[in-house]
Amino acid sequence: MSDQTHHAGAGVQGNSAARVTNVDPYDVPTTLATGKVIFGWALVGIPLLYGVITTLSKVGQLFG
Amino acid sequence: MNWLDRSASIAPPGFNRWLIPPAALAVHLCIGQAYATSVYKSALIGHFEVSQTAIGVIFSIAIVMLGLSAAIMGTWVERSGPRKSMFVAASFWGVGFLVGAAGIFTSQLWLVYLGYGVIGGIGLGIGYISPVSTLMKWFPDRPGMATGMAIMGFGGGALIASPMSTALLKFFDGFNPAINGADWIASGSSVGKLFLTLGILYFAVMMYGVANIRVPAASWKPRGWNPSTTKVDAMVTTAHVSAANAIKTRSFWLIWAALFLNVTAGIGILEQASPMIQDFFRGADGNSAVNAAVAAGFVGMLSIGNMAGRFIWSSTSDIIGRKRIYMVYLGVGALFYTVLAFFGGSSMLLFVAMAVVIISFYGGSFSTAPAYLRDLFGTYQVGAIHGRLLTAWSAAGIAGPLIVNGLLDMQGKPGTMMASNYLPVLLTMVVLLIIGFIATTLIKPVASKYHEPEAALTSATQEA
Repeated sequence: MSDQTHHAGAGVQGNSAARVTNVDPYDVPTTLATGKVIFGWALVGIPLLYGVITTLSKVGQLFG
Repeated sequence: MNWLDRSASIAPPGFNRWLIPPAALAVHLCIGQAYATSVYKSALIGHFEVSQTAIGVIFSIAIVMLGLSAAIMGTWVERSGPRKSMFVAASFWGVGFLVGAAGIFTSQLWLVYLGYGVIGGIGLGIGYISPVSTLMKWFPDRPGMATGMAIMGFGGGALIASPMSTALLKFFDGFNPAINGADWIASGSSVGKLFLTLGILYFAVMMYGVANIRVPAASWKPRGWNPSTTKVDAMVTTAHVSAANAIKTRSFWLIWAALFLNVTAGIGILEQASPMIQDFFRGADGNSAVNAAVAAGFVGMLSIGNMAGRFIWSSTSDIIGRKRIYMVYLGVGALFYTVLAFFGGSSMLLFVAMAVVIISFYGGSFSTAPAYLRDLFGTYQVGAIHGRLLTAWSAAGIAGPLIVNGLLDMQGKPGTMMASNYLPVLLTMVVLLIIGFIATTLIKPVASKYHEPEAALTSATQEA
């Protein structure tokens, strides 16, 4: 879940030798935001799981 | 409200793109309720004392409005960004339920047409296309999987809404198994309360999507993914085509035809699923080996196939290509329909397996379509082009039931038919799928005269 980075337009940033180089301001590691990811997927995943299990319980009668 | 503007929703550096699919799913799972209207259909017929057709019209209006609003509002959705358009969709979908509830409480059917049908239908159309192009921008390396995740939600929405609505109706009616029998039908007032509850609940869940959706910065791409080293495929363009130009191309209309024909054929089974399985296994004595409860299990199985196909086949298209997967939907679909027509009645397992795979192709054609459009027309206005394509769905929603019901009416009365009576319907679907297969083989890359000039694209990017 961290296979990404931003490569937006060239930013300008000086180093200690005052040499001006092009540095991508988005070129930073991905913030995992684990709590937000878990909450988001739980919000949609739990109801979906409930729907699938409820439906499967009816499907059992097909071959029961 | 600046917070809703596209510019306010650009993701900060380091944003985790896996937060986007739940935001998109939050919208699609809610609007997918449209497939679960049969739960309260009998209750509304009893409450308004009208025919099945008069209540069925509510759903028909909603689906027609879905296609129209997606086609008309597609360009606005693309320009405004996903956050504003998802907010508008949540508002229309929520208000649609509230107006529908007012119609039920005051026994005015026209208000239900206006609320759920027209207002809710607009919410359906805008909500359906809102997060799709954004997802493809976040997952340029796996666009089929990305659209599959969101559009799977539309199929899954009914799986949630159906049992949840039944439970709520029982709660509002004070259902008691000892008093209310198996033929219990909910009261009109409990359906009104259900509409109120769903309107508020769906608005709240969709607002989660609104708050969490982000668009990537203009030149963002996943780490390690270099488009220039990606295998060159003539069917995947690096150019961009506007929505206005896309509908002038032959390829757009060929995809439209392929989607229309595949959906028409899929609706053939979905529309008729419950009586169909009972008729296929009806004995010479006129009694079916399949009762209503087992038939309901079959309908549930189709719903799961519809949902799973949206994710599985669309993700597969990232590997084998969009044109090939559409050839599978239509070519293998035609083959399976033929098997179903001639041998479906010989085995329950064969019947269910064939039907589930066919419906998974039905779902897959929906979720693969936006990625196919992206391949052919670029990402510039793919959401708007997708909106125009969805008119194929509206058209199929009218054509499919007309064909199926028309042909079956000529075969006999409901409850008396057998497997052989379905031959004309199923073989008609085979012909439709073969025509769709031919249309798919004719899809070619879009001519460069339709491509947007570089200057226009740069200007559009800066404005965004």
